[in-house]
Amino acid sequence: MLELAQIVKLQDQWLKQRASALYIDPLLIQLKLKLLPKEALSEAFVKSWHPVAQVDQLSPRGLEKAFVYWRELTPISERFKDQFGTYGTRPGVVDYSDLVSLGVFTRDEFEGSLSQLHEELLQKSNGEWVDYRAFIGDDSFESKVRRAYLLAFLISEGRALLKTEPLTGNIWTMALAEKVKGLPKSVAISITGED
Amino acid sequence: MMESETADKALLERKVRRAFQVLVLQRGRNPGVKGWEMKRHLGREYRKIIEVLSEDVAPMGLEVFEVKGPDGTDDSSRFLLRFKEPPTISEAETSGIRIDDLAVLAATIAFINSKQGRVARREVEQFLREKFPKWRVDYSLDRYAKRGYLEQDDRGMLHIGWRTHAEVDEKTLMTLILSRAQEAAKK
Repeated sequence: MLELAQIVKLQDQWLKQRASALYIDPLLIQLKLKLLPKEALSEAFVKSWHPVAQVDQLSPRGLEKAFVYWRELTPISERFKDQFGTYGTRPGVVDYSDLVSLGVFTRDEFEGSLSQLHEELLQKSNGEWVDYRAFIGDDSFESKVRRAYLLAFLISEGRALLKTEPLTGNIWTMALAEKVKGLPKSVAISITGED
Repeated sequence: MMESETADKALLERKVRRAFQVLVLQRGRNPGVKGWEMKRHLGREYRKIIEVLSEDVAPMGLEVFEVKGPDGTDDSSRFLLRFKEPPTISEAETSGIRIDDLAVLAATIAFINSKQGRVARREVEQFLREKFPKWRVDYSLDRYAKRGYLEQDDRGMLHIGWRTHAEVDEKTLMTLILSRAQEAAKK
């Protein structure tokens, strides 16, 4: 019954709209709107426009609300401390020795992880280019960043190669059985949680 | 008898003055005063007071305009003080409104009306982008929705907003667009 009433209501609205002077064939109005220059459109609007006359003013209540808001507003230096920590430290470079000193790696673990990743890449690439993101991709973001970091070391040491395709955005990598020497180039690759 | 008439007249003048103050000072986020608020400020006979006020402000080029609420009741109606006649183009320009923004709004209102009063925002954007840059379309639609000229529901459908019903003579707009387009086509 309710659905039937809704159908009747919609039919009523449809009939009212069609019967009103506002109803014009959509295709016709689209054509007309395309034909009109912007100036003519805005002129048509202004000629049918009756702007509201009003005074914008600050009431004593509004002033009080603003005062309370301002008084209770945490200074900007403190505002996002909980979420993002303190400000003042600019982004920098974390090198291998920093990671060792931070206890992220021990020297033995790091060398072992590098060799393990090199071996894995050697097997997967087998002389062919493999997709960089597929290779570093893993279940967790932390693991992905760790593999990307280690791979960057392999590439810097000349134990792996990296190739980018600017048009498609694809990045390829390949392990080398022997170290190569050459002039290294820097490549910035962003890694996000969604990749 | 005379004293009673004088007292009635003074009361009426006081109520008309009160009605003007209520209408001209913006209280909430949106301009205008709802019917139930008018009743609270002016009493049950508030419509008569509004009629008198509308005549009083006419020489200043203003009028009191009623926008019917969604349920059509007196309480839900919104009363506004607005320009009786549209401003000139130069007056509109000096108020800081960009011609391009007005053109976007005019085209959007006409497009929505031609689609029986509601259309998907994506469809409006697609249509407008043939004539305006993408950034202006996005910016203008958001701005006009925020200011009440357009309404966007949670399903991404655009409707004509209460402010358009209050400020824009939609029939005149549609007629002007159709007639100007014919002139443009002849040229």
